[in-house]
Amino acid sequence: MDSVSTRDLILQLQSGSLDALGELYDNHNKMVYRTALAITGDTDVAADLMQDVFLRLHRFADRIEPDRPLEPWLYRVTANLSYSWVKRRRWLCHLEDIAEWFAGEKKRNPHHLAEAEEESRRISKAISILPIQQRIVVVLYYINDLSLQEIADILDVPLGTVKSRLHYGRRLLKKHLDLEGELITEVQYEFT
Amino acid sequence: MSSHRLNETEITDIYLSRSLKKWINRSLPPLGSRTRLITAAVGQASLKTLRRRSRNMGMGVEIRNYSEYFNALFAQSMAHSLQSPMAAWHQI
Repeated sequence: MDSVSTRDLILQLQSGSLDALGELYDNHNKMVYRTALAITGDTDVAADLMQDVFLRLHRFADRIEPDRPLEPWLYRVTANLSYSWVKRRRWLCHLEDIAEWFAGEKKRNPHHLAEAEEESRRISKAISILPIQQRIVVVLYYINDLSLQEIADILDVPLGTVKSRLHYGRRLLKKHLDLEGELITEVQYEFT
Repeated sequence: MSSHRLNETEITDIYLSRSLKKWINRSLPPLGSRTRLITAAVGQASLKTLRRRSRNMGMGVEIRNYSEYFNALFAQSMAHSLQSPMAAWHQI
């Protein structure tokens, strides 16, 4: 149902409909924005990248095959643009910026629990420490629930490379989140 | 009932998946992003496309540049917003 609708919207977009672009934006903007935000760690940049992704969708609509799922294309463009931004601005992307963002989030959500804030801060720091290529794989795998093969297709790299990046990314995250104790045990209890 | 004892990697994956989703799902795109996108997309469209679009929308003017398109679009939306209350008034 959803894929038929997306197909129709792509066909309309190919004939110049801006309403179709708006509809596609409504359906996919959160996914694109959150992926860009998780990779870049910057809300303003994520908003700009999201706009760029959908402008590219508009500009290159003729190259998109309506019968194929749109999500992989969106993931690919989002990951590529985020990667380029991080590589270009790596020296600007300090941990303090991310901490500041969460401080801002706290102001906007005064009722948010301090404990949840601390947890978010820990996770954003751990993610930002990952090398960019591992970070992209980690985001696509854990946040977007893509399979290893789907990630390999999107990033156009061999499956083994994705496995390796996930392995090292997971290991770094475990180390920086200190996941050897009770949290892991809690998950285990739920599944035994 | 069978129980599957998870290995360390599976446990870590479940924990990370939950934690990362919880972390990122708090964030939403800024308000006004859709309008910003459509405005930028109009700026990106060729004049030929805008002319076709203005004809389809019944704007009634021949578009020569982007500024004229925006003016016609604005005039049309103003006309719509004025027509609705008037129509309602006449119905009364």
